[in-house]
Amino acid sequence: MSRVLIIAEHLNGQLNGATARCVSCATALNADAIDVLVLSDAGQAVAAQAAQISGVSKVLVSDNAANAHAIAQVLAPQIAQAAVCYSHVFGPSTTFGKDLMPCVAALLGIGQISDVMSVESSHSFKRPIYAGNAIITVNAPADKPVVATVLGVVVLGESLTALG
Amino acid sequence: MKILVGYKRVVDYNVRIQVKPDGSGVITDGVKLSANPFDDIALEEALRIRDKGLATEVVVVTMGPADCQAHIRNGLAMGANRAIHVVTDAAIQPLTAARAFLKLIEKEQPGLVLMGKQAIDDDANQTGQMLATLWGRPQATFAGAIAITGNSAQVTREVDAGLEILDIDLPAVVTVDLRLNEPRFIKLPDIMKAKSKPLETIAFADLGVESADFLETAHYAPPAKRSKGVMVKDVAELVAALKNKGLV
Repeated sequence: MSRVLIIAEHLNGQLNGATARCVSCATALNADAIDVLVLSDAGQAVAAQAAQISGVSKVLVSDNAANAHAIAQVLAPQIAQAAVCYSHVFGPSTTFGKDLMPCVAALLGIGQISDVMSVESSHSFKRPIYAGNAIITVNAPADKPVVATVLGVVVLGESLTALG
Repeated sequence: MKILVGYKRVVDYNVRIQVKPDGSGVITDGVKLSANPFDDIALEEALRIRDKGLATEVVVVTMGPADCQAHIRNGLAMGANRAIHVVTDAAIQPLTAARAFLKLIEKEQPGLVLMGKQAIDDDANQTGQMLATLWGRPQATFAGAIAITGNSAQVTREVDAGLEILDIDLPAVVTVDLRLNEPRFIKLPDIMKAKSKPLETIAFADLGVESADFLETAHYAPPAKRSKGVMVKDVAELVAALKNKGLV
C-alpha cells in the first residue's frame, strides 16, 4: 500500500535524468501510485517530460512565481504539504535533492534515508556509508512516511535492484 | 557576531573501514578518530571570518561520548574561542542533532552557523539543512566561497550544474564543501593555550531534546567486490564485449 511522491528536478525547462532514477526506485517498491511533483513557475514542459517516464501514475504541477528561485526554503513547505497523501517521498541524490529533502524530512519530523541504492522492502533500504566502504540496511518505521534521496548513478541496462 | 561551528568526531579519513564479520557494525576499536574533514574546513572558515574582524567569537560544538574532550580541545587549539561539548553515548541521528543544535542556538544567538556538508562516517548530509528548517533561517549548502557583508552573506555553492551564487540574510546555516579552504595545522603552543580555554559540557538529556532517531540500521555489509577487468585486443572486441553485457 505504498504511495510514492517524487520530486522532479529540472533546470531551464529540462527534466533531470535523476528523476527517472527515482521512479525506477519507486517501481521496486511495487507502489500503488507513483506521482511526480513538478514545482516551477512554468512547469508544463517539464511535466510533459515527466509523464513520459514509464511507471509514473500522475504528474502534479504547482506553478508558482516564487518557485522561479528554486531554493529549499521555498520548495520544502510545498512538498511537506503535498506529502500528507503519500507513504514515501523521494528526491534525487543530486545537489538539488540533497539540499532540499532534509528540509522536507525536518518539516515532517522524521529522519531521512540518504543515497538509497537498493530497495529491500517498502520500509527497508540499502545505502552506502564511509564513502561506499560499507553498505548498511536501514529500516524506517512503518507508521511514518519515508523521506529518501535516491542515488543517481546511472548504469545503463542495469536495474536499480541489481546495483545492490 | 558569534559563529557556531559543528565539529564532529569521526573515524579518521585515512583508516580503511572494515565491517565486523557478523554484520553488526564497523570495527572502531583501536581505530584512529579525528575531526570530520568538512568540519575542519568549516572551523577554518569561521576563524578566517573572525580574523578579518567580521565576527567576534567562534564557538565549536561537538556531540559525542565523554572521551571527545581531546577532540574538541583540538578545535580550541586551531583557534576557536570556546567549546561546547554535548555529552551523549548514543550515535544520534541528524534530526536529533539538529534539534540539539537549535537548543544551543537559542542560548548562544549566533549570527552564523557553519558545519561540514556531511560527516564522513554516516555520509548523511542532512544536519545543516534540518537545522536551518527547524530554525526558520536561510541555508546555503556545499559552500565553495563565503563573503560576509553586514547582515548578509554571499555564498557560492558547488552544485551539479556548476556554481550557484546565493545571497542570504544572516543568521543562517552554511554547510561547507571541500574546496572552500585548506585548514591550518595545529601548532604545539596553541595546544598548550587550548588547555585553558573555556569548555562547557552539557549532558544531552539536560538539553530537553526529543529524540528523533527513528531509523534502525539492521545490517552492515562490505561493498561488493569489483570483478576483474578483461583485456580486449581491439575496438571490435571491446564493442562485442559491451554488446554482450547489454551496455550499448
